[in-house]
Amino acid sequence: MVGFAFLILLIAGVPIAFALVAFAVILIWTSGNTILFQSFPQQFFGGLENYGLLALPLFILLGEFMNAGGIGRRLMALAMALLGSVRGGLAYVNLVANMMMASILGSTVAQITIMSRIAVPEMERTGYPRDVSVAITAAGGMLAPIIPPSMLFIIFGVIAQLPIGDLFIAGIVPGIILFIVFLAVIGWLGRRYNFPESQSISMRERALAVWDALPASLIPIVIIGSILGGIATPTESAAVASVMAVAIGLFIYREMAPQDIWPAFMRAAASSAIVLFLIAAAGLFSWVITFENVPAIVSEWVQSLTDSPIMFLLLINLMLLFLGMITDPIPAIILVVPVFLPVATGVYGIDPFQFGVIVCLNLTAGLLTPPVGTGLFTAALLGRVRAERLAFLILPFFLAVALVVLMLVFFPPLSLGLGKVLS
Amino acid sequence: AEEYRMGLITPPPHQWTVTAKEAADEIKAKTDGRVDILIFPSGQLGSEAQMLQQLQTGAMDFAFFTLGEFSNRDPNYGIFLAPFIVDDVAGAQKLLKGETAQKLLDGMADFGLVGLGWGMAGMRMIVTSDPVETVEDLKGKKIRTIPFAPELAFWEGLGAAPTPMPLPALYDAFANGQVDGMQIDVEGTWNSKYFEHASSIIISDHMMFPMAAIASGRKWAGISEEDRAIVEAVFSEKLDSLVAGYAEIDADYRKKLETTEVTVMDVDRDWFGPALEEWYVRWREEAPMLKELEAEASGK
Amino acid sequence: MMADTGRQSLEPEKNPLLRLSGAIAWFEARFAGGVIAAILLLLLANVVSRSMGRPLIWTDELAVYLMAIGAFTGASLGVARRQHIAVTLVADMLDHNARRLLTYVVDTTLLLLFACFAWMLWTWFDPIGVLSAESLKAYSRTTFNFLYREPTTTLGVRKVWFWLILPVFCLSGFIHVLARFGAVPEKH
Ligand code: NA
Ligand code: NA
Repeated sequence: MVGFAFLILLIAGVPIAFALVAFAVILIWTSGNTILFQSFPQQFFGGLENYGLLALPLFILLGEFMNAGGIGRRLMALAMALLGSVRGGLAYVNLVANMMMASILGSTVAQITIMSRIAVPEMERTGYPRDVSVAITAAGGMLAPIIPPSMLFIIFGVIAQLPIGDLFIAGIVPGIILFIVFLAVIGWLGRRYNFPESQSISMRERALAVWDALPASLIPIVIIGSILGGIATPTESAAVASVMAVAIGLFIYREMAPQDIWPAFMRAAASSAIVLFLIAAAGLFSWVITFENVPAIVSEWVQSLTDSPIMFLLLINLMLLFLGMITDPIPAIILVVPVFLPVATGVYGIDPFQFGVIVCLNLTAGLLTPPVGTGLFTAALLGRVRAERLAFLILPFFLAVALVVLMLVFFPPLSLGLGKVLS
Repeated sequence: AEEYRMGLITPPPHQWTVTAKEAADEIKAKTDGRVDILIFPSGQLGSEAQMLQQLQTGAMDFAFFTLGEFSNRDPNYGIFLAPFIVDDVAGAQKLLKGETAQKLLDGMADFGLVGLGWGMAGMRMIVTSDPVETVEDLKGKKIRTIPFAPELAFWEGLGAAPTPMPLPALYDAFANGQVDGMQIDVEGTWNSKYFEHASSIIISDHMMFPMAAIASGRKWAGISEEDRAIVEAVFSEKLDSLVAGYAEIDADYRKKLETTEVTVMDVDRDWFGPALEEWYVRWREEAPMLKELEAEASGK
Repeated sequence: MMADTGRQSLEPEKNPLLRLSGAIAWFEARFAGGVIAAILLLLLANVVSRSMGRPLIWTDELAVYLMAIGAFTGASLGVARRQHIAVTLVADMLDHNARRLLTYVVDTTLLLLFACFAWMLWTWFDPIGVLSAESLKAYSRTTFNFLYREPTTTLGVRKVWFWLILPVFCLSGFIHVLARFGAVPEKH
């Protein structure tokens, strides 16, 4: 009944965060535990009292500075210099540049926004069909939340109380697998759409591109180095990298002016507030349902369906696929994880890192599926392609994602992090 | 039958959660189901600050709390953290059932709570990434602590830099050198594998880690006198065996740590030097009840 | 442009409430930006002080509270700019009149929620009860409301100073919705 009211509000277009708050209010009201209203404001605020969440605004800020500093274009040039004149070279270049961007950015939409402006015009100019170019760019965006750093892993880590650094590491191998599978898809697309040959690039041009991209590649090195070197926590590493990004933008690439700094802070504040508020609302939501013992009831129900961890994961993936279609990954994660993570780890003995990587990868694809897909619409808008056409062209990449998800389901070591596998 | 809610910050396998579950089962049986306590581990209902507020309004009914929320409000609750106030778990067990401990439980009425009794976790010891032989070697080291004033003061007194940090971040921080050491117990050192990046394991048993079993003042008043007696008796018994059990737990995990390649060494009160006495001078001022506790501990 | 916006005018000259909302939003955008800058500085201070062997104990807690304040400020701003994530599937399929009806439903829900939250905040902060009590301690003892005595862990100030963002958020959010009540947002 309360769930029905929640659905009505969602469908009517009430912002998801407010619909979650409304759900909490209605559930408290109907359950008769009105005493909870006295804790409501403190609990609302308390949903944000979490050190790990600080990583979120900081990595968003880092993305803003990177965007202003002209780093994307250099990474594209670097990728071009590294790859020879294979058939469809530029398509691979696009994916490699996306891979490099992913090691700096944590959000698919941010990455699609930057790469669409750089990669698509270049591919169109050299004779690639524009719609296919847009599809490849959009698909490349799916690497952003799997290759560290990652917004989704931060949010998952906060909800699951897992160290964010370890989650980042757990994403590396699945990210590389995803990259390889995407390469294969591009190879197939190249034959199907007859991609043009690449122009050859002189050694001098190559050397120049590498030299020019060196400062940009310092960013991921600073992030990883400051964590491993014991200078900073993963959260603090974003702060250090932000300062680096400003310095590179101002003094080395000179594409940024001092007056660009303040607007970047305001944009980062506005967009991170939207996500953080959603997390606060989800905190209320999960507090109220926990108080009413809902997760325990759901967990019993799931257990009555199957006792195989693999079956459980496949069921969860089906549900995520559906959720990913109708909403964006962040709200989906905060709806699913509080209820199903305890079941996954407690009942089925699934490793929380494996669960996290699977959930994040599955939901990332949801960002590019109709009917609700912010990534899809961003790419379609920027690349001037109809969203339906784009969704159709991305289909092979979805199948690739599904394949990788299945690999992660059946081979847990893939997502347990390099460290754990080695030791 | 009425459903009651009990919150803990510890995960399901932790001794505290196990004890809570056992107590809940026994209370349910002994009250013929009139008092049915649901357990919410892992901070599912919120942090201790958030749970405290729910206990105060009467939304929640029972909880196991560390000292943080209490010592933050009244320094007298920090006196259990006095270094070497007891020598071992047996001493802790006695002190936690003593007069001063009872006085502190009674004082919880000021926070809208009913104190049901004291439990504890393992005795605190030290793990460092660099080899440590004398207390001088701890100078300037970043030691992960909980941000309780008495604990911070202890480490500052030793010339170390107490560094608060959330527990989930500790393993990485220790491995990467963001902290050089930690104040912890042997159980945590083994289970979270902190020893993997350690050079010294210093069994100092220098501090207790008490836990308070509490009930909501508002809700407690609504339970019949007969059932209240049962609840109190069951908690008292379970807490007692929890505390007693830590003697064995500490010994077991110590043995496990000795199987690693890390140096395990015992140190006593003298090892820490004059900083301890300075700590006492200061905290006798800040927390007047410390003197009572000292008198009780010395068996006067 | 949003020419047809229902009964309300979205031209600030004709709608003083919209002017107020605009001024609040202008301030919120800058305040939230400043908060992010402050968080950045705090974390950098943390890195520097730790590497010098003198870690600052209070930076993490302050950064977290600032983040919460910035989030509620930015959330109110997000209401003004209609930037909160919503399922627009149905709205996008409808014609303009039906969309306006849906906008009324959404805005009414938001107003009700803000009103509801205002009531909770009023009961929680209980300004009249506190002012008429002899002391904060006596007030807490009789009401079981410890809001004003709640300490922070490392900052040495009461937590209520940070919680004050909640009534501010509630009021400004209410004003933002009211100022644009029924104005149909552009299609996605
Ligand atoms: Na990334
Ligand atoms: Na979708």
